[in-house]
Amino acid sequence: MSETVIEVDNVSIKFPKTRVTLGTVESSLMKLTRFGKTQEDFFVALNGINLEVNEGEILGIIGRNGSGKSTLLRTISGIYRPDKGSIKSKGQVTLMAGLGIGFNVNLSGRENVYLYGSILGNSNKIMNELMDSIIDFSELNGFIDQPLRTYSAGMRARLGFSIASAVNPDILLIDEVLSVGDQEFREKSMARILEIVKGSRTVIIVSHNFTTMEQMCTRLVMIEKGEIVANGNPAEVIAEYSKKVK
Amino acid sequence: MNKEKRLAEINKAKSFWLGPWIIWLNIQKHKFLISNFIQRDLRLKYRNSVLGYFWSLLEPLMLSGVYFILFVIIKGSPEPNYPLWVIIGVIIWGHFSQSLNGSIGSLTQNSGLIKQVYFPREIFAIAKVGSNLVIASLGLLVSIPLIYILDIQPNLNLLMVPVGLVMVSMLSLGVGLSLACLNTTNRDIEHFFRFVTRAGFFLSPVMWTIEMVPKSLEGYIMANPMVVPITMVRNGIDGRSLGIDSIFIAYSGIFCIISFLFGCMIFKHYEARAVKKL
Repeated sequence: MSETVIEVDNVSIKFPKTRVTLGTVESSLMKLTRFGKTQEDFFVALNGINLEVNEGEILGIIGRNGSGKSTLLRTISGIYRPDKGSIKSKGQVTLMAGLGIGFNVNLSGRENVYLYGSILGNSNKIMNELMDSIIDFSELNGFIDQPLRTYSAGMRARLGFSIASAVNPDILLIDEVLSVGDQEFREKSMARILEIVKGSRTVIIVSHNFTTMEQMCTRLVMIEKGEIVANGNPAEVIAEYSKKVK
Repeated sequence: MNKEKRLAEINKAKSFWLGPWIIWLNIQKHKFLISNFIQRDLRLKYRNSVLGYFWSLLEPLMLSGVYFILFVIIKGSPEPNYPLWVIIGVIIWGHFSQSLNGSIGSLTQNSGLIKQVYFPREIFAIAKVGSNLVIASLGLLVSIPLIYILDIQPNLNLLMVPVGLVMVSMLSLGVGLSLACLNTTNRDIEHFFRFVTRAGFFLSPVMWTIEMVPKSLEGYIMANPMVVPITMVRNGIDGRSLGIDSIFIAYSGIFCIISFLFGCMIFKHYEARAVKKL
């Protein structure tokens, strides 16, 4: 029997709504007159989420844009603190989202490997050991000592995926990054993810690509307006999703 | 990380008073990250320049040249050691204002990274202060040739130099951390403190020394916690004793320590709320 590695217990999270005011003198004055009087509006991003993920599972999360998928992943990875409820996890959680954000374009690819590696909690020594396999997997041999600003978007994403998946997290959270790179690299990264799971580790994926989700995931969860509305067999959840959207 | 593999609650709110202790543990855990951030800051600052790190010497040197001329115009010929005093003042004040403004903006300027990956956010401010401390220490190397030229005998007063540097670092980090969270909702903070660091330049002993201050104003001047650390570094290199009443030294020291501890507590307390507003 596999153990629970993530336990999301009745988690709610809301964000203050900030009004976007144009930077005109007029609006600045308006702000000043309302100073201290603004009552805050809230946007409820997650509303009483309960979720358990077991070791070795590949859990997919689907839902429409703005339904709270990314917020859930960020909350599990520790970026946001839940307003209510608690999250328990076992082992190191690594979030892969918007690959390349943690990078600095003026540093070389190699320097960015160290930087990103240490952001994920690894010393330069560990990254040195992993360096060859990272360069190999990302297929950036000739470019690794070039500054990152010379890379194409696909190359940056490849480097990001290679680093994040090389550092062997216990739990890997993937947010919409499976569509990076060319067809070949996509297949390679999918194989890498399956490999990570085989090492009895756990993966949670957010994606809109239902074909890959159905192929890879052992279970799907559907989120709507911050609540879980379906949870179970991938084919069934996807069928439900198509029904709902119509 | 959590190698013993237990199901443990993450991101739990902790007691307000534990702030400094949590930050201390996080520094231990993420020292690689801090050193990589500092290296990145230094590399990026002087990249694509022929003189590279020499700029950290040249910049205060040239700035001091200008202030020296200004001083001569306003006050006439100064004491022979005056150029050294100004250079040290400029370097220490530069460290303070860069560190303070950098840590106040540490959350807003790194919002992209903060929203993509989790690690303790105080690391940004700590690395900022760290890299400015390195730049200031490099800059202070300028004083070595000046010590020879001015024929100063270095003595035990030199020990005040690291003490002063640590005080400045603690003060800027403490004030910066306590305001970084508020700055995510009110950017007015960073604009105001850019002004404070500019005005503080003139109200702190950068271009002048405490000996030039009339006795009647001493009490007011000493309310500025930067007076003691700047004078410590300056007199330490100049081979003179501090020459400040111990009550003022104690005040300044306690001010730095308390603002540092409170900064840590306030930052850790409001961090979770501030991140949501990025």
